[in-house]
Amino acid sequence: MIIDMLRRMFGGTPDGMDCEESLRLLSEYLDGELDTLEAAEVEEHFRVCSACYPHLRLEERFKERVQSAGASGSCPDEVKAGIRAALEGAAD
Amino acid sequence: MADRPGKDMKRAAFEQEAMAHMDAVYRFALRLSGDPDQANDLVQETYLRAWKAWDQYTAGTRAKSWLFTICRNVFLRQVERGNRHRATVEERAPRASLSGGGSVINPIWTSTAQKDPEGEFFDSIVDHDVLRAIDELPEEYRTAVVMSDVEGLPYADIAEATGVPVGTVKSRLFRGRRQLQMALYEFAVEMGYVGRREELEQEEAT
Repeated sequence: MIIDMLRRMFGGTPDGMDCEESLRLLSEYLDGELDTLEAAEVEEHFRVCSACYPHLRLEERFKERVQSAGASGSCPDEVKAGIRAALEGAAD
Repeated sequence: MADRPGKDMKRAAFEQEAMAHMDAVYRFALRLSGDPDQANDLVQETYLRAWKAWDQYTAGTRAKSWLFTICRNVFLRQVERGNRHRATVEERAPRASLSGGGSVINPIWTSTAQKDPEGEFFDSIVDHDVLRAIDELPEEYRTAVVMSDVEGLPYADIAEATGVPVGTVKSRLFRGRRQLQMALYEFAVEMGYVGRREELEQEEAT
């Protein structure tokens, strides 16, 4: 398997979380969905494993790029004004 | 006679908790519909419905998730009314050992890691092309990716908003992100920002 090959090439981490488990939890780690202990273990693995580290960086960069592109643009002022006017009418 | 102070309080709370998210709801509506005019309608309908249902909302909870839920429901009803066939997504059962199905090793990152380990090619892709790639995802994947990666909602909120278990949210995120990553990678290759690697071609062939 590729993971075993990478581990042989780069060493990986002898103790703690292995490459496969760390990569499996990578998205949840970046999404802030892991508990503190698990997050620390994943973090430690990526810190010491040169084979897995690029996967962390590339996944981070991907998320940043999607976030920055997706967060651009805002609701047009006329739409906001229309909603406020409709709510005023509804409130009276 | 109308209870004016009560309505003023309701309006103040609505302004503070719901109206603060108008830009986010608009962006979400735009990604759902892919059309600015329809997004405008969706946002207006969302806020009018939210106002009517405001008494059912628990103050201080996640207003943005609640608004996204309404917005998506309005969108899906519009799609159904228009007799348009929504893209159906094959929801394969996640493998027991994986969080969302598929290999834990991302072949795109394996392919990119040596030449561009910091993912600098992402900077070469303009917003318009990233958004176009998002818009081409199937609705279920697009919704999950936008809610998580753009709006930062937790899995539990996405699950509640879309009416599926958290495991399905993970699966949709996994598959949606892989599709999006592949689309961006293909775009970067096409534009000459990164070179195509044989490993990825072999991975795709299997």
